[in-house]
Amino acid sequence: MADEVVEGLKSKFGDAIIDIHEKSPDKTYVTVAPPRLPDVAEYLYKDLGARFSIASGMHMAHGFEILYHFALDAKHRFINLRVILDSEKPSIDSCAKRVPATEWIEREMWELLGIEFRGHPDMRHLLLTDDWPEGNYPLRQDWKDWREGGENGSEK
Amino acid sequence: MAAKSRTTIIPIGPYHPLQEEPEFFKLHVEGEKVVKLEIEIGYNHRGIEKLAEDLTYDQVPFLVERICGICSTSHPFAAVQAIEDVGGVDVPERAKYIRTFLGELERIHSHLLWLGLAGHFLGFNTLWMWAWKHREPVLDTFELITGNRNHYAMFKPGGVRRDIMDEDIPTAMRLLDGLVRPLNMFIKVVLQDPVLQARTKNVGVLSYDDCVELGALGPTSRASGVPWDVRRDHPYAAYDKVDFNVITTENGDVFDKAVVRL
Repeated sequence: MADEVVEGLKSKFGDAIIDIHEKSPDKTYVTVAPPRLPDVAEYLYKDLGARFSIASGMHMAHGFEILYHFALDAKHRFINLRVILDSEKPSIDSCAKRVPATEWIEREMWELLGIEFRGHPDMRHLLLTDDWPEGNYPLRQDWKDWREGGENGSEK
Repeated sequence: MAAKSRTTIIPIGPYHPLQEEPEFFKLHVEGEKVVKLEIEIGYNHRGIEKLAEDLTYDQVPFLVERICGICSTSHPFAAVQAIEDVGGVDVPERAKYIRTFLGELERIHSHLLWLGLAGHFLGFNTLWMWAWKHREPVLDTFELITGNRNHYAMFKPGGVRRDIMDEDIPTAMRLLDGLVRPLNMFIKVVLQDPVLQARTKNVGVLSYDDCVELGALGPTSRASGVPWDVRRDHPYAAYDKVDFNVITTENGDVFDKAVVRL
C-alpha cells in the first residue's frame, strides 16, 4: 500500500524532497531542500496535525545536519525532516514563526553550533551565558575551549 | 498618562540548585495578571553533549543518567534505545519488562515527589512530609532491585545490568502492596481538600491549543486534555504488552496537574 504521508509530501513539494529513507515502519527520514524546510514543516504541523518533538543538529564531515523530528502520534510514527547545510556558513530560514515549538531549539542550535536561523523572532542565548564569546560554538568539531586560550579564544 | 496600565516586574529566582532549581523567571504583571514572562534556564548547563563526545557508547548511559538528579531512568532509557537502534541490537524480553518496571516505579516516586513539593510550595508542609514518607518504600524497592535508591545504573545497551532475583520478589511485592492504601488516601485527602482546591483550581491554566502549539508533553499536556502518551503512541520496551489507561483531564490548571499524577 502506498504511504499516504510520503506520497503527500512528494506531490506537494516535488523537487524539494531530495530523498526519502524508511528506516523502520515507524521512522521515516525525509531530506528536504533547505529553502523549503519551513514550508514542509508547516505542512506537517498544520495540515497533518503532527507534533513537533525536537530538533537535533550535528556538525558532520559533509556539513551541518539538522533533523526536525515530527510525531504523528495517532499513526504511531515519526517523520524526520533532514536538511544539510554548508560547512562554511550554515544558514537557513527559521521555522519558529510557523511552527512555534521550534523557537527554543533553534536558539540552542544557534548558540552551540553557530547555525544562523534567518527571521527568528527572538534570537539570543538560551543556555549559555550572555557574555559567552561571540562566534565561539562549543559543539563544532573544530571548537577549542576559549578558556584555555585556543585560537577561538575570547579577547574579553 | 492615565490610559496605560502599570506593569510591575516580579523576579522569581534564580535559586541555588539545592533549592527550587537554578532558574530565573521575570514576571511582568499588571495587577494579578501575568502579561509577559522572561525565562533564564541555563545557569546549570553542564555541556553534557560535549562531554559525551569523548565517551564510548557503553559510558554514555551513565553520563546521561546524571542529566537529572531525581529521574535516573528516563535519560539512560532513551540513550540505550538509541544505541540499540543504531546497532540493530535486539533486547531480551525479560530485560524489556525489567526496564518497563523501572520506568513505572520511577513514575510513582516522581509523582509523589511532585506532590510533596507542590504541598510545600503551597504552605502545606504536612502533605510534603506525608508524600515523601510514602515515597520511601518506592526507593527501598529500587535499592532492593538495583542496589541504589537513585542513579540505579541499570540501563546497558542490549539489556539491563542486573536481573530481578526470585528471592527479592516477595519483599518488592510487600513494599509495593503497602503503597496502595496511602495512594488512595492521597487521592481522597488531596483532591477534596478545600484549601488546596482554592489555591490550585483555575490557577496557571494551560489551554489545549497552547499545549499543541508549544509541544507540551506528559502529565502537563494530559492535564489540558491532550491525550498524548508516548508509552501508548510510540511503545518501547514492554509497554505494548501491558495494559494501562491514559489519564487526561480538561481544565489545564494546577489542580488538574495533580489529578493526572494521582
